[in-house]
Amino acid sequence: MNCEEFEVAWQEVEENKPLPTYLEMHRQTCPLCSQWVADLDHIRRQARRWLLLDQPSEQLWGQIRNQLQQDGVIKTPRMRTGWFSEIPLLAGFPRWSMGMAYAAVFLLAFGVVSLHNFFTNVPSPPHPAPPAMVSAEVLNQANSTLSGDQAFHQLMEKIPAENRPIYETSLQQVNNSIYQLNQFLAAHPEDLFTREQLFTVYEQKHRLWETLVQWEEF
Amino acid sequence: MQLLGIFQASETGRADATWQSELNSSSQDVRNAAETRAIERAKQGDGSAFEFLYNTHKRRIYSLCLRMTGNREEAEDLTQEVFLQMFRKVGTFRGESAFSTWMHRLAVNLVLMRLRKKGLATFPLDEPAGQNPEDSRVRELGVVDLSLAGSVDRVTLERAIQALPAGYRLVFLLHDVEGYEHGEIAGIMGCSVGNSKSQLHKARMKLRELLQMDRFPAPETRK
Repeated sequence: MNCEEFEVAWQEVEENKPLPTYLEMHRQTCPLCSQWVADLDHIRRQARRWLLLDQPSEQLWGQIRNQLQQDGVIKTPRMRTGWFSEIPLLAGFPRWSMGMAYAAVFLLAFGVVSLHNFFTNVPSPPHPAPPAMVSAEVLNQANSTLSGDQAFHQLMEKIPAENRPIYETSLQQVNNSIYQLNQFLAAHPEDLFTREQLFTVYEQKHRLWETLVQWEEF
Repeated sequence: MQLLGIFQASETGRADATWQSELNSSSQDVRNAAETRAIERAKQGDGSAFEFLYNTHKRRIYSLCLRMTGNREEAEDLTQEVFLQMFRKVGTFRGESAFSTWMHRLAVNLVLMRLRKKGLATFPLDEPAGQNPEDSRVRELGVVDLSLAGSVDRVTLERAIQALPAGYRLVFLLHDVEGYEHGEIAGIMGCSVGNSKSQLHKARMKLRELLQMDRFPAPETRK
């Protein structure tokens, strides 16, 4: 076999497959063909290594998404509506559940703060940090210090029996609010107000936890 | 994004988290399954599915566009066009070929169209192997082993690739960089497997020659 025959046959060999014996024999005995194969292999490896490192700018996806939204290719999630949406006065009915959740959040906040003040005589912070700022901290603590609601219940058992129901009710309310807000967010992921409310509820839950811890310390 | 953690109970959040972990997974099967699901959701207009597909393929498509145009701005423009067309047409994807093959076919068509608009010669796809005297297996080989000499740096290689004729470059990028097989390239480019092999061989020879010219003096002649 000469070098030209080797080259023609070599083109047919699939990548990552061993060379047929007759080609391998020629490659081993011919330094030029051996070098030729090594060169091409080296070029391929270097090209694969370097040429896929580039990527488009971060803004490109935003531009594509905007265009797709304008074209109606990306469909924004629609609110679940029913017959009541046809009646102007009742058109906002799907949001009633949200309203209930908000109301629950405010009532709960009021209840928890009152409890907090009543048992500790510590005034609540006049200007709480913005929800988005504190939520990560709250979430961290909630994740690290509470394993589900088990820890809550363990602490509640240490509270005098006559005071316990109010904490149980508060915990139930806060959990209900979290559930409802999450449900709503699943259908309306872009609703920033709901997200803020959710952060607030987590804050309230955290404050409830702190109050319980203070009870234990007493 | 720690804040997003609390939203993981939602269906969307769960799907995103799963896709993210699947994207990082090394298992090809998991990736394929995730891609299949994303395609189905993209057909229904799900924005996060589009984003998943974009993130999965953006590097390869952009890299191809960049090497074919040699210009970052134009490559981004072309990448955007490819993805827009791809997402608009995703409803017509029937899964008869791999999704990446289907997408690369779109990309190659757009790239070639762009090159033609710019008046750049592409290449005849039906050209039989070895017909061009310029590529008739020049029996030359450098004395110095490129790999042993460590002589191919990124800039030199980029320059050499840019100097390849557009057709050679495209086949080289698809086969040697992106890892497509000749059968797939034939499907992407609408040519025969033989032509794909022939173009690739010429591309490699030319590339080697360009790299040797860049680094070394006149090469030794083979028998």
